[in-house]
Amino acid sequence: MAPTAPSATPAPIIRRLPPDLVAKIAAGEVVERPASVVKELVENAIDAGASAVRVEVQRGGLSLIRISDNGCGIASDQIELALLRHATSKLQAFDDLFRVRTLGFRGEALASIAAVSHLELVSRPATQASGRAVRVEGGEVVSVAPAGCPVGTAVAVRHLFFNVPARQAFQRSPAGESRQIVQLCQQLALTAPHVRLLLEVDGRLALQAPGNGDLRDALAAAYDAPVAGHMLALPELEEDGVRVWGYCSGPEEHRNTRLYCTFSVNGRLVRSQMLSYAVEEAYHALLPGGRHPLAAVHLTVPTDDLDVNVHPTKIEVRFRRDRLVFSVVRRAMRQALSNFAPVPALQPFAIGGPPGGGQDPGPGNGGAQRGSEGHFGNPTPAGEGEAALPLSSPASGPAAGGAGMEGAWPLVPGDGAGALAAGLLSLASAAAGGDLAAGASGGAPGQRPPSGGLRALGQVGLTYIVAEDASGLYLIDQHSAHERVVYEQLLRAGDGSGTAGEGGEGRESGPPAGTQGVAQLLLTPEAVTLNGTQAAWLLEHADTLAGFGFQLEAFGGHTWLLRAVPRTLAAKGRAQAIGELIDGLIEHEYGAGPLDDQARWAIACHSAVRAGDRLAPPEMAALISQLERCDMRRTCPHGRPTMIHLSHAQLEREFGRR
Amino acid sequence: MRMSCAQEQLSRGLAIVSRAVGGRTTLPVLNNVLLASDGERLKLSATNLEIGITTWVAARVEAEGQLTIPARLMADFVNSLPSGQSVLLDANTRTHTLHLQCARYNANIKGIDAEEFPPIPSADDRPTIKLRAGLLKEMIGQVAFSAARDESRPVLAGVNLRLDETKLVLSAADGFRLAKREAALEQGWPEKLDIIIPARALTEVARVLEDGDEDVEVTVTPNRSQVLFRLRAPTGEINLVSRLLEGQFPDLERVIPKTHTTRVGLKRAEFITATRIAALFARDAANVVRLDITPGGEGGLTPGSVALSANALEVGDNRGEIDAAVEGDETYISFSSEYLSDVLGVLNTEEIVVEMTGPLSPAVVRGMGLSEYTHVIMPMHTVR
Ligand SMILES: Nc1ncnc2c1ncn2[C@@H]1O[C@H](COP(=O)(O)OP(=O)(O)OP(=O)(O)O)[C@@H](O)[C@H]1O
Ligand SMILES: [Mg+2]
Ligand SMILES: [Zn+2]
Repeated sequence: MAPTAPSATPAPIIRRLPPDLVAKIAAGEVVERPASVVKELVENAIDAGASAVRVEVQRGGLSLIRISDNGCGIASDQIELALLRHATSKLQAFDDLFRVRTLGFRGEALASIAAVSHLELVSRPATQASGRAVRVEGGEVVSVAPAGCPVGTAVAVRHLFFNVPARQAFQRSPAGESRQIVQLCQQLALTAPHVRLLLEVDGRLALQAPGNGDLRDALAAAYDAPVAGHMLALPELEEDGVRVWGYCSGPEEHRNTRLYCTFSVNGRLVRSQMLSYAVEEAYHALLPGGRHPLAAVHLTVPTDDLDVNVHPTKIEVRFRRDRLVFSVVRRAMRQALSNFAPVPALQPFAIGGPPGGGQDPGPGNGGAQRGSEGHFGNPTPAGEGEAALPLSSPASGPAAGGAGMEGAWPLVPGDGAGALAAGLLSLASAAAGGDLAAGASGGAPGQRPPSGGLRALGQVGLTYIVAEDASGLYLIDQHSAHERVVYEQLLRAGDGSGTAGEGGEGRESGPPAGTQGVAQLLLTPEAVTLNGTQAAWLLEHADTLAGFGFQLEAFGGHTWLLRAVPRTLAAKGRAQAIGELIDGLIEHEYGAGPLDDQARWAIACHSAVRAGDRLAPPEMAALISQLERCDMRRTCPHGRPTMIHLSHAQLEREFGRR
Repeated sequence: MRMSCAQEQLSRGLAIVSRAVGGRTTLPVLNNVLLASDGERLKLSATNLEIGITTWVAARVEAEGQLTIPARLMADFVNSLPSGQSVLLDANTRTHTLHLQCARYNANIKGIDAEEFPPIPSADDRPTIKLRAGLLKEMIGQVAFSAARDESRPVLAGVNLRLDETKLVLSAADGFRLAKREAALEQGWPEKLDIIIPARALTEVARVLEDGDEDVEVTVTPNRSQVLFRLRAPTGEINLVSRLLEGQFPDLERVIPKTHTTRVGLKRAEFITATRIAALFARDAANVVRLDITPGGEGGLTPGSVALSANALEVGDNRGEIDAAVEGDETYISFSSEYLSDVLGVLNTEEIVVEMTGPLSPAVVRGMGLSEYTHVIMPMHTVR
């Protein structure tokens, strides 16, 4: 075939764009939608030192956005300058870009907004007796005139995108735009708790932040007072110039979007995947799948550590030491959560009802439960499995299940488990009317988890450990509790990689503590035959499992040779768990976190004692003391509670002693 | 059934068979002990379907018969009776009630028809092998702990017993360690015997056995589904029956290293102390205890050493050093502290030998001069 003939189309002609088009393109980058206008204008007001800012929008901001502040104002002779592109009072030289303290720095926002709307700017500094008003339409100044007005600045934006039909088409419904503006203003109120921020949407008050500088009050205004009242204060942590403070919700409060996590860096509202991930990690396993916490996190970092000039909307930032920032944020949240996490008090549905009682069963929750219950099945008393090979049994053979009260000290004579559970159940339902949860009144977070002094009394139904301490009685789910213990051991080991484990003397002399995984080698390699799905998964993710100590070699077909297992699995002698473990990971039974974290759960789950395992008193004591040393001893990695509490007060009330 | 026997003997007999009483509510007769007249003796039996224990108590039998009675209540009651007295047992086989009388104590206990009790085989006159009770007890103690505790591979939850004309071999392995103990026999077994006994059952056997020189007779049912241990103790005869595990026990000989590059000899007591201390820290660090082995210097003038250490990130670390006779290369190896203390706990020689071939190969632990015993531990290592 002959080479293609040269194209008949003439070469396109290159032209310089007309200035108004250039302006519109530039504006499009800064002003994507009505909410971006609000953000720029409110930030200008905050930069101007305003203590009160009022925002009014109509029809989702498409008809009107008006923002007025009581800030420093603009001198009348400079007001036209303020509307020029690249005119700013905030940045003088290039180097200043690395020392940005104000929210604006480019001198682009007003010009961009003015290019795509009808804008009116009225301003008066305190030093002037009267102010000045400028009107601009599509970037053209239509009028400039003196105006009588209070000290401060007001900007009204009408007919947004009147000259950009494409943009108009992209806007959602006015209601959708309004919602975005409300969310934005809530977040702005949280980043600037010292500013009285008022938002009116179509004439109705949508937000009223008190501006008293108290972040909890800002949270109450943005969300709702009881929610804010229960939020946990982050411990103020500071490391190498990175300081964090703020609030986060306890595990019982969550939402289905990340929008309730607000990050403020040096006073700037930012979006950051890295910060979101730090939060996710901190809450990891405390929330049902797909749910997110509420948080307002304030970070202060040295200005030269922060690059704000990343994105035209200034909402994205880059940290020079992002690992440090990540770990400070995560640590603060973890501390807050572990310090205050309450133990759920015994409630009627906590026994016999859905596990996870007391928590909103989120969408992902049910799946995780089914999965984890799935591989354990019913409690099977030791030896039951061999009923098929009896010495010879004349009777019909034992039925499964039906384990009784075990342990050295029977709490209730006779049919222990049933009696005790029934007793607690009726007791709890009677108490449910009263003030069950200690601390439910007064807005203080609930009963602190027991710390030290918890004593095992026995085992119920081969599934729960009964324990007591000075504050009352605890029922501890042995599987969930142990899973939590192993999970945190693995997590700590992983945490240490790269920092604690390196360099020090420990590396020289001691065994490898702070590392990803410890593998226990097998006496003889074991052939593991997987099904097609499992094998395909393993081919792709073998490295992840290897990081925890699985040593697997492809052996042809779907067969692999297992040479080593994570040491926590070896301790239980469950070298063969691999197929089940992969199934669980394929079916996302272990949450929606990063794969290595899902694997960590999966390994913890398979390493843990199961419902139906008989525990000797020393084993129970050991498990409890390990659980007490956990950061999040309250829930298992699936988010189910590890323990339920029955206080002395409840007991006394129920027995009529008080 | 009507008979009487001495309170002490009855109490001891009940304590022995009670070990086989299964705590299951689903098959009530298994919570009971079978009482039966057997010539001039009272036969007591209990079973949990995995093992069955039978023992006999001298009795004056007035009327023959049998009945099963809740084991715990019966044992507790008899235990509380005044010693030096005789206990009268009188069963009403129609109402399945046992009347007990001792001194001025009377009791009636409701039981279950003996027909419902699973038959427990007895040795009869099958060929048996005679072993010394103390030896068998020691062998079981050195091997059974290495059997797997879970049942994902059922044969590994058992102890392999092999017999031929000259020797008896017990071995067990849980996938990460193995133990093997041999004993020479004066009088062997006519044919080769190779069976797998649940480790739990063997542990019960060891508990019942006494350290003495009495004989234990071991025999296998003709269909090779059960093994029977018959102990003739001065206090009376005890039979223990266990079902056998089906399947092929893995060939462990292959796994036992035949060579090594480092050989360490150390004092057992010192080794145990150092391990115990390291284990305190290992608890929080993946249970890993690391051994750093340093050969002696100056042609053997200065002793070699083994340093045991454990390091838990959040707890702290520790390092203990003990003298050792080291032959071969300097090396290190990490073990589960549990595996290490388990084997040290069952060796009774004054010195221990550890043979290694680097940090990633199986290590052999033996008692110095105890060639009949071999223990292999797979090391742990860190993934990077
Ligand atoms: N509400 C206000 N009160 C006082 N001065 C204002 C106000 N809004 C704008 N200005 C002045 O107008 C200038 C230009 O504002 P504009 O928002 O366009 O740029 P900027 O804030 O400096 O930078 P950026 O484009 O990053 O927002 C500001 O530098 C400031 O001096
Ligand atoms: Mg600005
Ligand atoms: Zn689980």
